[in-house]
Amino acid sequence: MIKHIRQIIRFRELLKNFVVRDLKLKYKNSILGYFWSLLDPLLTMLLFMVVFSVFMKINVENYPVFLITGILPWNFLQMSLNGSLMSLVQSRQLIRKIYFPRQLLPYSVVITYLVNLLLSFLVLIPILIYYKIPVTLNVLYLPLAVTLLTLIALGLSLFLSALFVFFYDTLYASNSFIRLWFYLSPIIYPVATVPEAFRNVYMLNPITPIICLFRTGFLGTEPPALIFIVYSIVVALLAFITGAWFFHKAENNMVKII
Amino acid sequence: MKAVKVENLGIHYRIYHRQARSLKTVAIDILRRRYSYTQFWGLRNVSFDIEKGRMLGIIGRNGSGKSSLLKVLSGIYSPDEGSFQINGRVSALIELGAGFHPELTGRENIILNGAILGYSREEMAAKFDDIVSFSGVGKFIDSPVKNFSSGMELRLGFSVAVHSEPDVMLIDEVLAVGDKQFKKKCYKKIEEFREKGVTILLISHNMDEVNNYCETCLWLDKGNISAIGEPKKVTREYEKWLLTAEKDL
Repeated sequence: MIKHIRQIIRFRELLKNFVVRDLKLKYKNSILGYFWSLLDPLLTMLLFMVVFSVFMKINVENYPVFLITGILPWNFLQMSLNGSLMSLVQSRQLIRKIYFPRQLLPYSVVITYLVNLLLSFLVLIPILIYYKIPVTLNVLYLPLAVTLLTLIALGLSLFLSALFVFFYDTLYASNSFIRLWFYLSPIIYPVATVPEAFRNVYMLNPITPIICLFRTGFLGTEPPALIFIVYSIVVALLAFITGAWFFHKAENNMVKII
Repeated sequence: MKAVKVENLGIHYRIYHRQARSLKTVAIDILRRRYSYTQFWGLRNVSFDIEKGRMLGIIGRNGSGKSSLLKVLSGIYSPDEGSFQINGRVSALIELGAGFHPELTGRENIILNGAILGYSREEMAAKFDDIVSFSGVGKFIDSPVKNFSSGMELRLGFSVAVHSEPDVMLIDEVLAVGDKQFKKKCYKKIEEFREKGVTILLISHNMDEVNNYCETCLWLDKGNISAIGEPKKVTREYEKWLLTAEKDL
């Protein structure tokens, strides 16, 4: 674990290069690249808005803002996992030919989408102003929420990218898992709609408190109970450590068969 | 002082009995208790050392473990058995331009490739002009690498690699490619490295190259050392052995 971190610090220049490369490729040939990356969450927001507030008449205050504050972090997680799953296999030429810490590949994907997430928060500002939502001290919860979600994204990315080298159907398994996870997280509906009886089981999903923290930060709503926040911190750290451990455990064989 | 010291080195590979490996088949195989693979040694009981500033030629048939050896020494594989020690910075010419991304320009790729080789932006910036002029790609440096000819891509890759400042250099057959003029440039560069006291390990199928440049020759077969010693003697033995091996076919 210490070695894992030390390698990253030693090769931070390379990591930066990978991220810059990915961002460049993402936004190359389109000055509007940044806006394209915002279009998708906005369209998703619009879609759910129509379905849930017009068709199904869900009763949530400021539903559009509620939606977008859940969709943006969720998209970060989902795109990080999808992107990093392939990251090792896509760079197999590089891995076979040159030594460098291979964890940099999934890391660079996650960091690229993290930059994307932070940039997309900018679009929230006009929305928050439009809906006249005041900024409160709860904004201070945001750094915690971003950190925890990043740790979970990193841990799972390390795990999935290594597994995909060995088993091609990791892709299908992870796609199904991610879809289920989306509906089991409070992205399009509030936690309050979950019946009391299931509430405690429901909160076992470690990203539930994190999504709630994002809403606390932007909308100024009540933060989740402390116990759930602590639970999320523990799970996020465990996910990160386990992912890194698995990655290095598999590394030697992975390089030979990739 | 020893520049490279290899002791009892072994690398094994697994051959899985299943063609397509998936989570599903593995789950089924585990249930049936038939999850199996054959293990074979790509390299075993390999021990040798090289004095600083010397050049070692590595010969052997395809699949004899030459490339596996260099991959271990460059850190790509970690040893499954035994150990090795290298004093100083290693640079490997194993595949040129491996880190090039087709959509990025030559300029961007040089910086990226340098970073992969462990150089900071400042170090690369200082060498940038030399790298470009050595490669001879000229004004193409600002076009995407996907528009390069394969020769240009190769030359740029080689140029980045030789502008590093290694103590130990690993070369895997890369000299076999490129036109005559470029080859001449490469040999000149190798001479320069030798004058600076760089230790070189070179894989080659060209016996003259080994005889002319190397102090020692290592002959690998099926992952084991067949012979090590004076190049002329070892290459002669190897060529004789190749002839008899051919007859067996």
